Amino acid sequence: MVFSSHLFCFYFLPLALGLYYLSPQRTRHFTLTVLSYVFYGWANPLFVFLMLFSTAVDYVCGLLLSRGLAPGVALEPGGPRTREQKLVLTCSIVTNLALLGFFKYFNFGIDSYNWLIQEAGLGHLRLDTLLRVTLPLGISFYTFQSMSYAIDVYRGDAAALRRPVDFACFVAMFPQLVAGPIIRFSEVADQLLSRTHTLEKMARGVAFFALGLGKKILIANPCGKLADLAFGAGSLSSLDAWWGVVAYAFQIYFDFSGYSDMAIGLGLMLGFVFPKNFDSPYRSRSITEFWRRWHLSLSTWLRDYLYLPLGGNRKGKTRTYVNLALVMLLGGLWHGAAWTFVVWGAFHGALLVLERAGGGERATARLPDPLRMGMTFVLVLVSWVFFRAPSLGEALAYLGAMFGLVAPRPEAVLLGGILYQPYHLATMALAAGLVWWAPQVWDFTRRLSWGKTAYCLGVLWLALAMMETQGFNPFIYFIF
Amino acid sequence: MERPAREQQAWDEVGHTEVRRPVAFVLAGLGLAGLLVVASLQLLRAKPETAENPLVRLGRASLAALASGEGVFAVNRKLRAEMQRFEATLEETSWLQDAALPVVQGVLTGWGRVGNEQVYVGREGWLFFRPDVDLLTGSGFLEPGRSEALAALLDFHRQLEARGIALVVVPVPPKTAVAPWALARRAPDPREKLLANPSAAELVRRLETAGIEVLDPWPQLLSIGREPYLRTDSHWRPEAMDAVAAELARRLEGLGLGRGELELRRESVPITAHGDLVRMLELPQPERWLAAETAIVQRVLDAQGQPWQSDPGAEVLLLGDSFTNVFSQPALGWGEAGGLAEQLSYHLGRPIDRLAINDGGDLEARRRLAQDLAAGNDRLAGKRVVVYQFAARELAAGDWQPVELPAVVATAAPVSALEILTVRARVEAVALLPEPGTTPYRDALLAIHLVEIEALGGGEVASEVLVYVWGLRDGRPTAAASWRRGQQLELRLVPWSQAPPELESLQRFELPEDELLFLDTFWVETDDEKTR
Repeated sequence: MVFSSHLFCFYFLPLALGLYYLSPQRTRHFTLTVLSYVFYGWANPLFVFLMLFSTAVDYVCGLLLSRGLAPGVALEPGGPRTREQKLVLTCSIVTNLALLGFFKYFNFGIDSYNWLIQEAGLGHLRLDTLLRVTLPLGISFYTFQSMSYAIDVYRGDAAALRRPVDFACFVAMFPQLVAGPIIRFSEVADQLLSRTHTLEKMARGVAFFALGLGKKILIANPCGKLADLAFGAGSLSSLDAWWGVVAYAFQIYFDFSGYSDMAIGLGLMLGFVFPKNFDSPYRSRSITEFWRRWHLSLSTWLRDYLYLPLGGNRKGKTRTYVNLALVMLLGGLWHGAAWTFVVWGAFHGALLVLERAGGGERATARLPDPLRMGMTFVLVLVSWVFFRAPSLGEALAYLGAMFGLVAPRPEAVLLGGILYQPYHLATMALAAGLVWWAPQVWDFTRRLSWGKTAYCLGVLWLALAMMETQGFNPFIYFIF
Repeated sequence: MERPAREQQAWDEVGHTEVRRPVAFVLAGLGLAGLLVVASLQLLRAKPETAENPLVRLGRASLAALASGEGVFAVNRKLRAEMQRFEATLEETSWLQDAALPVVQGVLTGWGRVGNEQVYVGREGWLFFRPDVDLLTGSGFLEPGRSEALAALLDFHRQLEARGIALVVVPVPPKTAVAPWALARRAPDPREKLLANPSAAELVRRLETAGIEVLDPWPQLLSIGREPYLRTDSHWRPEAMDAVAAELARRLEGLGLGRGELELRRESVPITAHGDLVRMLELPQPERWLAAETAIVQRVLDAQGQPWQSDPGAEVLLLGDSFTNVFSQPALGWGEAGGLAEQLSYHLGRPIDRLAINDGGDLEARRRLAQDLAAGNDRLAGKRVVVYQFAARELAAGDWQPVELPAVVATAAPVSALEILTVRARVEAVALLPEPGTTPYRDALLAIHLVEIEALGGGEVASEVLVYVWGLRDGRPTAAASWRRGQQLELRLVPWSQAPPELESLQRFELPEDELLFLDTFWVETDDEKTR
C-alpha cells in the first residue's frame, strides 16, 4: 500500500486511526501491529511471513541478551558481555543480513558472476538457475531497524522489550515500515512504553502529512516525468540533460522527504515522535555536510553501527579514508543490487576522502556560500546520474550528453517541446524555491496559525485532487 | 535513560508545537474529517444494480483462493490480483476522481500545456500520442533486446511466401515525424530533414533484402501539405491516407495485380469532431480548451450506392490497425466507409479483404488471421498479396511475437456449423484490462476462456471455448470486466462468424495463452447475461 493512494488516504488511514483510538490503551500496540501487517501485506501477502520471521528472531535475541535482568533494566553500557550474549548478537546480525543478502542480492550476485566469467572466457562455469528472487518491499529498512534493536540492547542503550506485541509494533508500524525513516530502537524505546496522544500532536501530524503529500504529488511526480523523459531519451542536448538531472534531483528529494514527512506526520497522529530525516541537503556547502543533511536515519545508522565500530577517524588518516570509502560503498549497495548504486556510493566515498584529505570544509570556507552550494550541488547531480540511469553504460552516455561530449541527434529537439512547457517550468521554479529559500516543514509547522492551517489544508486538498488524476505512483525508496 | 541526540532534537522540534486549541482542532478535524467524508460519500453513491460490492467480492474471492487447495505461490498470486482489482475498483468508481479529473486536466491542458500519462500537448492546439514521441527520441528499436519486430516480419513473410503470397509492409510514420514543428518550435521542416528512429532505415533495408516490398509513405504524406495528420487525433487526415492508398495501388499493380473493373464511386462527407487524443485527456468540455477540426471523408460506395464492404474472396488481404479503420469505423469518430481499405479498393478497382484491429497492428491482426485459419476459415485462400499496415511506433513499443499460421484443418467443424446457444459455463480466465486512459479507444473487447460448458435447451458445444465480450464501453470498464475465475454464468453464445461485423476491428484484450485462440470462438452480448 502506498501513502499517496486513494485506498490509503480515504479508507485505510481513517479506519486505522479510528480503530487505534477506539482500542483500549493496553491493546493499542496489538491493533497497530495488525493494521501494519495488513498495510504491508497488501503489496504481497507472503512478505508478511518474512517480516514475522525477522521480528521473531530479534525479539528472542533481545530476551536472551537481557536474560537475568529485571524488566525495563538495560545492560550496563560498555560493560562486559558473556560469550553467549556475543553469540546471540551475532545470530541477530547474521540472520538479518542473510535475509537481506539473499532477497536483495541473489539475482545480482548470479548475474554479476555470470557476466564476469563470460568476460573471462570461462562460460562453461556459468551458473544457470531458474530461481529469480522477488525483492520484498521495505526489507532494507526493517532488517536494519530490527538489527538496531539487538545492537542497542547489547550495547546497553535500551532495555529489551518483554511483550512481543510491543516489539512487533516497533518493527512493523506502518508509518515508517516500507521506506523509513529507519527508526532505531533507542530512539523510540521510551515511547513504546509510554507516550502521549494530544490534539497538538494530531494537528502537527496532519500538517506534516499534508505538506509531505504535497511534496510528493505536486512536485516529485511532475519532476519525475521530466526525469523519465530525459533519461529515457536515446539522445539529448546538453541543456536538456542538465534539466533532466536537476528534475531528478528534485524528484528524489521531494519524493523521499515527502514520504518522510508523511511518516513523521502519521507517527505524530499515533503519538510517536520520530527524528528528522532530511535537513535541506541541497543547501550543503560540501559533500561532508551533504551527508549530515541527507537521509539522516541511514547515514547515522551507518555511522554508529559501521563507521565507528570500524574505528571511525581514530586510527589514523589512511584507515579513516578506508573506513569512509567502505561505508559509502556499502551504503550504495544498500540502495540497490546494481553496479550503478555501487558506483554512486564509491563516487561519494571518493569525494568524502578527497574533502578530508584536502583539509575538509575549511579548504573552501573562504568562498561565498552560494558558490560552495553550487559546486556541491553539481557534484551531487553527477552522482544522481548513476543513481537514476538503468545501467553504467547509460549513465556514462548521459554524462557525455551533460558535458557536451556527444552531439545530439536531430530528433532530440522534440524533447524541448515537452521539457519546457509552462507547467513544468513553474514546477521546477517552485521546487527550486522550496529547496533553497523556503523554511523546512519542521520549522514551518512549529508554530501553527490560522493562515498556516488554511495553507496546509489547501495543499492537502490540492494534492488529493491531483492524486486522483495520476496513475499508480509509488515512492522511489520503495525499491530499496 | 538519557535520550539519544536525534531523539532529543525531535522532541525539541516536533514534540512541542505552538498552536492554540481552536486552530489545532480545525486543522486536525477538517483534515481527517475530510478524508472520512470522501469515503462516506462514496459509500452513499448510487451504484449500478449489477455491480457487486467490491469489499464483498474481495472477501469472497480471497476466501475462495485460500480454500482452493492450490500451492502457496498460486494462492498468493490470486490474493494479490484480487487486492489490486479491489483497489482499482475503488479508484475507478471514485466520485472524487470523477469530479477532480476534468477540472484538473482542464487547467493543466489549458494553462500548463500539459497532457497526461499518454498525451503531450503541443503548439497551436496539436496533441501527440506519447509512443509517437518515444519512437523518435528513444534509442534504435533494432538494438539487442529491444524489439522482435524484424524477426516477426521476416517470419510472417516466410510463411506467406510458402503459400505463394507476396507481402507488402506499410509502416505508418508517427505524427511527430510529419509535423514536428507542432511539438517543438526548433524542429526541422520534414521536407528538409526527416526525423526518424535510428533503426528505421536499417529495418527497411533488411526487409527489402529479404524480398519484402516496403512502402514507407513519406513522400505521399508530405505531398499533402503541412498538416497530413489530424491535430487532436493520433491518425492521418483523409487526404493523406488517400495519397498513400493511391501509391499502394500503384505498387500492387507493379506486383502483377492489374487494375480491376470494380465500379466504385466516392462522395465527400465533412466530419467535425475532436480526436481520440482529446478523449484520452478526459476533458469535460473539450471545446473550451481545444478547437474541433473538420476532415473531409471520402465515403466509398458501390454501384448500388451502398457503403463499401470487405470481400473475403478478394485477392488482396489488408491487415491493419486503427490507421486502416479510422475513417471506416464510426466508433472512432470520423465517419464510415472511407478508410484505407475502401480507398485502396477504389484506386485499384478491385475488391479488398480487410482484417484490421485497433491497436492490433503489431500482433492481434496476425493472431486473428491465425485464429480464422485454425477455425477452418481459410482466409488466405486465393490471396496473391497481403498488405500489412501498422503504426511505426509499434516497432519500438509493440508486442511482436511470431505467430504460426496453421494449415487449415479439414476436419475442423466448419464455422457455419456452430450455432447460437444458451449455455451454463464456468469462467476459467479473464483477460486483463489496462489502466483507464492508457488506450485511445473508448470501446474494446475482452477475451474470456469458458470451461465446463453445458448447453441449456439442447445443442452441442465444446467443453471449452473462447468468448469475446464488451470490456470497455465509452472508456469505462463493463460489468463483464469484473468477472472472475470460478464464476458460474448463463450466457447466450453467438458464433463469431455471426457476430456483428463491426466488432472485428475493435481493440481486443487477449489472454496470454496462444492455444486459446484456436478454440471455438463466440461473441457474448453481456446485457443478456445472468449470473449466480
